[in-house]
Amino acid sequence: MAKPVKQTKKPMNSKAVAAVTLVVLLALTLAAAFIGVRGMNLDNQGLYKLLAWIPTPSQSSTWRQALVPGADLGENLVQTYTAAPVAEGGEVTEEQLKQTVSLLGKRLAFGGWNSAQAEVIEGNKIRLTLPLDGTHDHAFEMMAQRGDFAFAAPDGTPFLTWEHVKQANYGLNPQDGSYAIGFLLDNEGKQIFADKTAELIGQSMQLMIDGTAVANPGINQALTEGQASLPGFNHENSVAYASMMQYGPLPLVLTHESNENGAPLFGAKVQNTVIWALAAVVLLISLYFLLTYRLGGLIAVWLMGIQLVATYFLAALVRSGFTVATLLAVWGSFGLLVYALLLLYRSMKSDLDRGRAIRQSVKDAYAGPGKVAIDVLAALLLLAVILIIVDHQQIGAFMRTFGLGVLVDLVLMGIVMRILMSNAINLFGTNSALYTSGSAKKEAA
Amino acid sequence: MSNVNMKSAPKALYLSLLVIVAGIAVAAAGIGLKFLGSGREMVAMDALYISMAVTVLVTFIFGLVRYSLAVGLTLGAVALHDQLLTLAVVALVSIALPQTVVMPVMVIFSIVFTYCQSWPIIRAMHELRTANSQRDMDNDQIAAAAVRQTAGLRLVAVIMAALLIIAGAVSGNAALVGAMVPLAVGLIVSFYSAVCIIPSLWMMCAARFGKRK
Repeated sequence: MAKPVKQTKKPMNSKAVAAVTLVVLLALTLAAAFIGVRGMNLDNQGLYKLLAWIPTPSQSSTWRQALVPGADLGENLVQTYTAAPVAEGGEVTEEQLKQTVSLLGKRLAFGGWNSAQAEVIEGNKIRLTLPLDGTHDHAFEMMAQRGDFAFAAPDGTPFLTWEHVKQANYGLNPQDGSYAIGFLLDNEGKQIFADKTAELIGQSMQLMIDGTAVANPGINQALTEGQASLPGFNHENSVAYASMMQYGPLPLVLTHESNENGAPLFGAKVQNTVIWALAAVVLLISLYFLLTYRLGGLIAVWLMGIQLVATYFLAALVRSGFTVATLLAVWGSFGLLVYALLLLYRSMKSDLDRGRAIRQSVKDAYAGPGKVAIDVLAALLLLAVILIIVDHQQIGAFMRTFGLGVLVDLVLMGIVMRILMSNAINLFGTNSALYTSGSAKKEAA
Repeated sequence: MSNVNMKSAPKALYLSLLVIVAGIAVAAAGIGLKFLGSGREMVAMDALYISMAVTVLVTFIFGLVRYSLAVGLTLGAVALHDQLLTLAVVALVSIALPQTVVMPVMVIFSIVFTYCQSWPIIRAMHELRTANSQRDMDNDQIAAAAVRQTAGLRLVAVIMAALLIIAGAVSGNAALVGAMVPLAVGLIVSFYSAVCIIPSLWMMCAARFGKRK
């Protein structure tokens, strides 16, 4: 009679698992970096494509469509306007010119053009330096309208002006692809609006800009909440009108004189030079890590690469543009990752030099200095979130990109580094010489 | 073992106060806080002040919740000092190197340098204080040990940050150099306050609000 054969389970080879894990992660990293630099067609005809998002000096790359260069780092559109008083026979004062420039700056920032600049030149002329992305030329001219906003009855009699608008915004209506303008009124405005819309049920009201009706929304019910949304605008109109509702009219009337192309505000060749300069710094930092921490340094360089690919991708996703503020957000968070890695690696090196095992030194690094890194990153993430809520202009916009970068750092430091390090230890062994350039000393008994 | 000189903190604070007052004075007089073109009209200074206040408050609350009242007060005070001093120095330097509209972002960002310089020291002091009794290690010795322990890390961090700032500054024209000034100033201010102010400030807060075995 045949005896039953015992089925014994073979233990998984941890080295093989580690090797496969590292190869897969490396392949994913390289693939992401390759697509980030080259972009990718998503169909055979090339109608749909994933744009490149990692800035390179190549002029043929599509990254400039994903991260549109701002007026500071890219070629720009220079528009010149002549300022005139609102009332005929009046004078243009310096104070009015300053106020006009200030309001124009706020309107441009409201529209997301944080790198745009407005300045007074030659007495009564105002120059706008705007990013040359080709899609918003007319929007800039609209932004320079005086912008005296009011809601009016069907006969054109204004009943509510911009002074009662606490907040305005605009957004895409996904149902029909148009843009809607939303607004929130103060208490007095809320009451006026409620009374008037109750009176005008079944009729319409007019949205007036500089005395001209630009929209006639119908009124089906009294609007008593002090806020509403007006659909049916295109992007340019919605940005311009919402900014006028938010900030009020310009104190002067601007007449468009000329358009011309201008060099980047920070120098004609700044775009490529800054890319090369930052690449050189990454090289230096990578060399430091490789020479000091060897295999551990290689993992650190790998993490830095992932950080840059991911953060640039997220910056492109939130349409930060290629501006000094975006570079600060991306490279600031890169610097924070380097700082966190320094904290961990210096602790590990110190333990290894004293003869500790690599696994224990990694564990101790996370338990000790690693907590400083987590504290710094967590505090900055919290600060970023709060400032995004508090500030709706330049600082909030910057913190949006920076906060994403810090989030990437937390994930890389807290999760990815542990995975890479433990698999590297499983695959390559626990010899201290692999992880530090110093000579290991025996720990004193 | 060298001790942290308790007298150095008041001197450092007086110097900081002097610079802050000078910065406010030149800005108010219209001599300082210069911008390129009409940048001054485009910059929302009230938004900057609000963001600075929020930064200080968040820093204090985080330190309070994460560690203790003493740590929260120290971090909050250092954040306030560094932000004000950075803005004041920028106001003074802008006389020679006018700023751009991105200045508010740069000043707020400099809190990163404050965190990176001060947090390791504060944590080291907190741990030494928790691990040692008053008899084993007094506050002076704790502060000196913490500054010494973290000196290497902070110096390497400063060098790496400086490399990134220099890379940005050399990439363009004088306007870009001016734009990088708040970062450079923030980096120097954070290092200065980490060495000269934090240890004594923390000792004062710990003595008043912290418990020791």
